[in-house]
Amino acid sequence: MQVFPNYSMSNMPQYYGAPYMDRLSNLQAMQQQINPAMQQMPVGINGKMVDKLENITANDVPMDGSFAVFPKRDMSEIYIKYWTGDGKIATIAFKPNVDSAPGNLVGNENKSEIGALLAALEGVSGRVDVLADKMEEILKQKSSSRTKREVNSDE
Amino acid sequence: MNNPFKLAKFINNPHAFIQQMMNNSEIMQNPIAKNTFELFQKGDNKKLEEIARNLCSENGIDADDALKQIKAQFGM
Repeated sequence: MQVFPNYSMSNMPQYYGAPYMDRLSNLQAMQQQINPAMQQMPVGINGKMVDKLENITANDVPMDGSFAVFPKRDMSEIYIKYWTGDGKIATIAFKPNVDSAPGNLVGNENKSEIGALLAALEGVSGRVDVLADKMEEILKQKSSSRTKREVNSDE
Repeated sequence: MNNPFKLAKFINNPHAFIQQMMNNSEIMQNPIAKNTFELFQKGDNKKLEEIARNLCSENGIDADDALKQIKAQFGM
């Protein structure tokens, strides 16, 4: 007697829902969690250090409407480049102000004003000294005249 | 246009293709693309050619040589 396997519904594994779709939706949810985090990353500035202006190529300048910064290696200039609507690359060159030293918070204009104030104060203090000397002389003269009168009155 | 389907779409209906491109915010951030699409809609071919020549010169390409090569590829 041949025994046939019983392929009844009760023997079949029970799938509640669609496990493949559940895994796919989980992966999609994870991807959505990662993507906003990646989008929140700060965007840097395009550009690079260059030895001279001629080393900058058209591919170095972004075509997404932003600009690129190219400082010279010797820090003598900084170039800003961006594409214009007519297909040309516009260049702006910045040169540092060599007179002002870094870290010096006081500008040249403030320096001249403070210098003038100091000179005026020195003049005023000089006059005060002169006045003090004169007052001392006057007091000495008065005290000497008083002693002379007292001597004369005693006689 | 590396995608041949997009190229075919452009050839069939260039105005609709351009309009679709203009609705793409990422593409329209490119000032050259934006100006090019606007000029194409206006039909200003002279300025379009000027933009193409400027792009070629910025990239160190001779515009006339490039045009000859393109024509040769299309058998023109």
